[in-house]
Amino acid sequence: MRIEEAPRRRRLVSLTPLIDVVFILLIFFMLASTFVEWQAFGVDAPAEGAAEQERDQEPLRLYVTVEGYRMDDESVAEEALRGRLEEAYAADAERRLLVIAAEGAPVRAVIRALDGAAAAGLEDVAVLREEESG
Amino acid sequence: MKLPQPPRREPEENVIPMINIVFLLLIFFMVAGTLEPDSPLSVDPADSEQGAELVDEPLRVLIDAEGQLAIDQDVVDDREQLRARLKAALEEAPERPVEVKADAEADSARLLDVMDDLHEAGAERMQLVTRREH
Repeated sequence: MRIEEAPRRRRLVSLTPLIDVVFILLIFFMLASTFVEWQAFGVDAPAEGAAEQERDQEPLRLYVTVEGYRMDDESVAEEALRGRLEEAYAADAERRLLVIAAEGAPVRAVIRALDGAAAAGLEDVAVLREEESG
Repeated sequence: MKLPQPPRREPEENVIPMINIVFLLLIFFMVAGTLEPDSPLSVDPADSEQGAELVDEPLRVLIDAEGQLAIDQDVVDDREQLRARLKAALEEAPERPVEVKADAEADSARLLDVMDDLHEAGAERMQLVTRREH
């Protein structure tokens, strides 16, 4: 008896168009997706002077100027800022911090101050303009 | 003369490992990356170590390095327009969170201007966006 040879299996659908489409999708996602992680600081937008009245304790004032940071009338180096804020937190964890930004100071410096305050544990933070603080 | 038949071409055979890898890459970029909406201004926020998660579907205010403002997808010419837009948006949804993305080099006075406008429009809190530092 003569048995017919089994036909060689062939792929019914060509893979090439699939590869084309997958490549295009890959290139799209490579170009369009970003891997930047965003985060944010919650900041009060206080009414002028209103937030300060009911507090009996004097808030801690951190001045952000074009030259650098100032606290209690002495300038604070950027590296020392974190230590100073940690000291303030150790003395009184509930203390309010006012970050007072001068005109011309970049947002970067304000964010560094907020970052230091958050790292030290201070939670009650407001950002103010220079003349509002009195 | 009897010529040997040319061997059958089977190009699909060695393509499969490549497809596997391309699929893996595609899935990686789809899952790990995030697609971001097109931004009307080019804004490069500062880095920070600390910070909270971003909120969903906020009202977005952008401040670029030159101090130009934008809200959601539209560039606004001045603070007057920004205030009007903010007021309209917050009247529609008073509880909508507000996210401010300011360039690291922008003047902090500009940020404070925006915060005043936010306050006037009725937003008590806002989120200041930063990039996560590793």
